[in-house]
Amino acid sequence: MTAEMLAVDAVVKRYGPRTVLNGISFRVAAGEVLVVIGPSGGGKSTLLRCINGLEDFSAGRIAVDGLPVHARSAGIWEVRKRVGMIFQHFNLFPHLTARQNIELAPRRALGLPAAECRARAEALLARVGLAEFGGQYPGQLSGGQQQRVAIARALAMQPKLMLFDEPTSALDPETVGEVLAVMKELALGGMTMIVVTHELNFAKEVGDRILFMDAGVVAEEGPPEMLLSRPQNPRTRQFIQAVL
Amino acid sequence: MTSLFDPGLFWRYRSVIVAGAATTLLLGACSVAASFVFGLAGWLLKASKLRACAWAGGAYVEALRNTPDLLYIYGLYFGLVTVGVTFSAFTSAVLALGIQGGAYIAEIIRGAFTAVSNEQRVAARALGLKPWKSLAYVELPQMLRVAFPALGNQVISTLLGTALASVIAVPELTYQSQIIGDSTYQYFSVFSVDAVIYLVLVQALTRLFHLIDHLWFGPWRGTV
Amino acid sequence: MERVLPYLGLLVRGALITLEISTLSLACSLLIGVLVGLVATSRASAARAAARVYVEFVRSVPLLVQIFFVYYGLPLMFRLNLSPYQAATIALSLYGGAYMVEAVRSGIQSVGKLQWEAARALSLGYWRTMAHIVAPQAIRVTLPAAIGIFISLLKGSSVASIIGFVELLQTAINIRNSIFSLSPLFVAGVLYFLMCYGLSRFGGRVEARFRYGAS
Repeated sequence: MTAEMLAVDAVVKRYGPRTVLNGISFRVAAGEVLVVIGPSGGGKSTLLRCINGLEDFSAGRIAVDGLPVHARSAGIWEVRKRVGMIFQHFNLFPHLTARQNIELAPRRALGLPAAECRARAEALLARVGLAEFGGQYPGQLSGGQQQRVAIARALAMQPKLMLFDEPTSALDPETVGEVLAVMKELALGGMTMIVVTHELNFAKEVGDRILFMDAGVVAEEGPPEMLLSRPQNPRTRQFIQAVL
Repeated sequence: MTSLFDPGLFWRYRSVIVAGAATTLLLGACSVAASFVFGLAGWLLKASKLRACAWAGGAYVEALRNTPDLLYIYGLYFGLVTVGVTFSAFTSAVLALGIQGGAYIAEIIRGAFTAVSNEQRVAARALGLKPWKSLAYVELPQMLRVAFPALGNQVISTLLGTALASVIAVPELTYQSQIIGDSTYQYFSVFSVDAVIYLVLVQALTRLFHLIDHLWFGPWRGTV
Repeated sequence: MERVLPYLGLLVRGALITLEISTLSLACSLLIGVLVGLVATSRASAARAAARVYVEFVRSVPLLVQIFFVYYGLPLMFRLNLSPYQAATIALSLYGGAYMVEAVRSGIQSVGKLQWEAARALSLGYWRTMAHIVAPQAIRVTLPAAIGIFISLLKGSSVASIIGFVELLQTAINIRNSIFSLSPLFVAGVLYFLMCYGLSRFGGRVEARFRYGAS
């Protein structure tokens, strides 16, 4: 019996006159890898930010691991401890070394002792293949390396759900592979992941389900083999043909 | 030209000059510390969500930036006596230079805060770092780097401002120079030496700040 | 507060004196700034070095010391007598001049190299290029900076009170000494504020017009 990790129900989000999320609903089971695709401006990024309370929404419900998500409430910090987020532009802290970037949150947000934080950091650096790079600053690392550090940083909080917001869009083609490899390893290890991406090959290989988002709602969803090769919705078909 | 420049002067009055320079440095250090305190407070006030605080902060910054230092040196030392408050000359000078410097520092901090990308805050929040922790561990270090050159200039500016304390008889360098000048009439010599000492102090500080900037913040910039 | 009312006229007069000496010093600063600024961007390295020494010196020494030097020191060197007004004006002009050099230099350098090359292609000589092409564009950077320097001079003129020049601050101090109230200093502060803040708002508008005007 798989537990439900994320429940999104009829969520509406407006930016002034624009409606970015228009009553979107879907579920994510524990251990599932959900890939979200769709045209720019379709609200994918906004959706991710609503899930961990970085953005507020006007109507609907979101629940992570049973916890309700309300951006302004005190309880949001509990949600954020369970949700890790990876950004398109990495957002590493430039004044800290890779190791310090990873240690910061467990140390200061969870209050864990320094020795344990360091141990976690070393283990995670090794896991993403950057064991010797702990002492380097982000400014000295390539894009792919920075993104891998960012993944390690998020993993340091031992999240139950990880959100990826176009993790490889800002990378040179040569480094895309190393990041996708780390993400694949995470998926195979049973991490619940929501990945917003244009990498349809990754979706096919690693995704359990694909969501096609357009105009703030789920236009179509289904397993990769079905959605990518035999999409029902004409908009989906249009999008996939444009990307491939 | 021996009547114009007398090098022996320097030697004869060396203890007075050194004492004056030491007082200048002490006064400078205290004033700089005070200006950072006022600057931080001013920034927090101005950035506050409460309208009264924001207005007060803004008024502080604009008032101090558009009025002369000397006004406050006199005002705090002579003026407040009329409402029953007495400050020593040294304290008056420190407070006057402190509130002046503070206004500029508040603006420097404000600029540095907006210079730090919002995405850094977002990333910190996503990791579960609450606003105060985010400020302390993520934002302030980056703000410090952005603000460092401007803060360095402000420290130098405050140090130069200490010369004004001579008018309320704080025995700093310029005051001592005046005393020496009045007793020897070698004004050209004495104020030349006075100027050169400030020049050396400022140049030394400037080099020191460059060094700190390079050593502390250099590695962040990476190999790009 | 009411005791200062009869003296308001005196204070306003003091403000006008402050304004007058600052304006005069600004004009001289501009002259110095342009001359030295041209030297600073010239190709003679000795001249550039001299310009840099001047600027570094003025910026590393307190204004008060510079005023003392001009008022007490120079007369010994040149065997002349300077009134406080003359000494203050000279010192303020040299002070403002150093900052003007930076302003002029930034202004000139803000005009891209391509403009110089285009001018050369049109066979415009150095001075013609300066006058018709560079200067009008340099002003967009130099003018706002000049307004900032004007504000510094307005505040700096108060330091001249120490050598006996009676401007706004000294006027306020004199009044304070006779009526033993904080008010004259407060009114002087308001007058300084009106002058400087007014100028900085004006400067802001000038800068905005330059930014949104024809580029």
